[in-house]
Amino acid sequence: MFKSLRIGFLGLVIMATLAACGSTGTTTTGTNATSSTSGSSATTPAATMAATMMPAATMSATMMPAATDATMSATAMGSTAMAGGAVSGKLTVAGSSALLPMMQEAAKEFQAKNSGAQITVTAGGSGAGRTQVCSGQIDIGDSDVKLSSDERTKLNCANAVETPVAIQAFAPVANKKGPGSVNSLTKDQLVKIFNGTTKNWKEVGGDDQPIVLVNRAKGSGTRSNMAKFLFAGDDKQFATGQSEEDNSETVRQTVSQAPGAISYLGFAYLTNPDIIAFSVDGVKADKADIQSGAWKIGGPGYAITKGPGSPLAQSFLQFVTSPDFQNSDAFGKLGFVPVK
Amino acid sequence: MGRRNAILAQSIFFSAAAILVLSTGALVLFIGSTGLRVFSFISPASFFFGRSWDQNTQDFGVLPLLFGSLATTLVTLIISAPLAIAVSIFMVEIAPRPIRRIMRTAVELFASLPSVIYGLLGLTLVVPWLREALHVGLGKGILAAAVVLVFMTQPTMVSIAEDALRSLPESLREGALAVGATRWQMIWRVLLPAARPGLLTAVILGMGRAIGETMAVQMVIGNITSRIPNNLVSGATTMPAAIVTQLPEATSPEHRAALIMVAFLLLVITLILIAGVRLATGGKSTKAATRRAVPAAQGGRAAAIAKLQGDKV
Repeated sequence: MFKSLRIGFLGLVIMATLAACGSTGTTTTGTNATSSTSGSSATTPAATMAATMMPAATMSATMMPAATDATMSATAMGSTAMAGGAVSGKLTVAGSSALLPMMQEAAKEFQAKNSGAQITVTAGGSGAGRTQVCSGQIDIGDSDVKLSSDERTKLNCANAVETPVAIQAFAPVANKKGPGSVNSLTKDQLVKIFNGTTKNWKEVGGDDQPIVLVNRAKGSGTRSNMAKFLFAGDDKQFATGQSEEDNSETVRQTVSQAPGAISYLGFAYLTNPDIIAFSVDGVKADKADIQSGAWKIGGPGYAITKGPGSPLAQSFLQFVTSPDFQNSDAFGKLGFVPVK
Repeated sequence: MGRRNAILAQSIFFSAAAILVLSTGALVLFIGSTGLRVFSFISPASFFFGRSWDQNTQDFGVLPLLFGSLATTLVTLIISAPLAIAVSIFMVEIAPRPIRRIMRTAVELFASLPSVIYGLLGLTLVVPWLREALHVGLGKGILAAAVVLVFMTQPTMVSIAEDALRSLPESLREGALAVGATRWQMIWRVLLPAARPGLLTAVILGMGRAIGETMAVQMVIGNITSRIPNNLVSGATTMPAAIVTQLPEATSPEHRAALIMVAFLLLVITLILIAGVRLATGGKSTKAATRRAVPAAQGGRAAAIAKLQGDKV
């Protein structure tokens, strides 16, 4: 009797110790899981699943202000600006998948110049970028759109600073079967296609083929940029469509396969020969027209910091927006246009 | 010395068990308490009976998600359950040993494929095939998801059903054959009824896999959350697919809480399924139950044989 009690007690002690280790462990892995997994979520579905499968871990990270504060103060302490412009410390960047390639390139070049700096760049979606930077999980959040005033209050992010880092462009795309010889549409025709009024390609001069509308999921930056152009930002006017995809790659694949399909993509995705990108109101979707401002679909992508950001974050963003980087070949090759 | 080791071992096992129980409890508690917070934003009625899930209008009615999950699972089971039972009968009763071995390897291979691969196969094979065969716009929808899930649930169902059938005592078969039953009669009237608890467990666990599958389904179902699906071939969604698609982009606390509430609902459904397994197997875990079911079936052997004889007369 006593013996079993004693065993039980010993067990409890061991358990408590393990649990204590376990909980501290969860905090750190939680933080890591949030930034790194949600980062790769746009590209690797498995990672997305892992991120969503771990709401507990994610939440525990957000719900432990003490831990987060500790991380932040550590970052702040680590990122002391040194004399002569070289900076060091750790920086985490996450958010818009459209901006990802540009931010990765910037981080690579920045780290080459400042060997003490360690910058982790991941994706996860514009919404994730805004949420995570506001909750203090990451240092810089990338987003294709600004924070709404609603988000500023609800996410406790009134002091957020939005720095435009690149101009992105998006274009309506379609499967080759359907539009026939049509390769240019007016804005009015596009509005009617995407709000579901026009249901067949022959109504805009194409073949007798039903239009299959493929959307990005709500919250996508690409989708908000289309909504801004087509519906003055009112996302509710988008027709429901046949499917809503959570990344550009699936959209490209779906549109290239399904006859009659129409959707929209960032410029970096227009290289597929199986899809056609429409001219809008006679303006062709090419770089010269974005640069001149004639191409209307798109806008600046933002890097968001809570407050002005750590010295390292400030110095990184200075580099990203510097003419040196914005006018570099690498920047242009990725399909972006300088902000200034 | 030996006694001390025993105490140490006992406390390690006790700790392990307690950690498992506590973490499961904490999980349920955490998801439940976070999810239930959604009801401070919207009424339970508009959550449970709302016919649209649309973050643009802040409508979070769970019916499109719930209905999508149930419909997908139902269509999957209608195809998958008879198929799995047939396959396992073939493996246990009909196939010669080498073929059986090949089939078992194939089943294991199916089981170890990551779900992303199933999703990719669904996206590149099933969706285009449905699109062309049925002349529907895109081909994404509940039917596409169900076809993918049929393949994904087979390994679970086949291996458990096969276990259940294999663990039936040889005397059942001999008895049936001895009284002149054909092989078909032996399988249909003796083996299947005797293995029923195990087969039921197979179906329920397959159902659990189908209802919880996330990635593969998300890739082929179309992710339309704003309406209750009214057919099998246009865009729909399931509970886990909606969570995985929307959680990363959920910027409003309402939206986040609503998604976590969906996760809680999914957890509850899974727990109900597990309770179902226990009920089906008479309160014992899967394998023990299939083994235990045997003596009971043996008890009914006389009746089974009598029935067979009655049949023959």
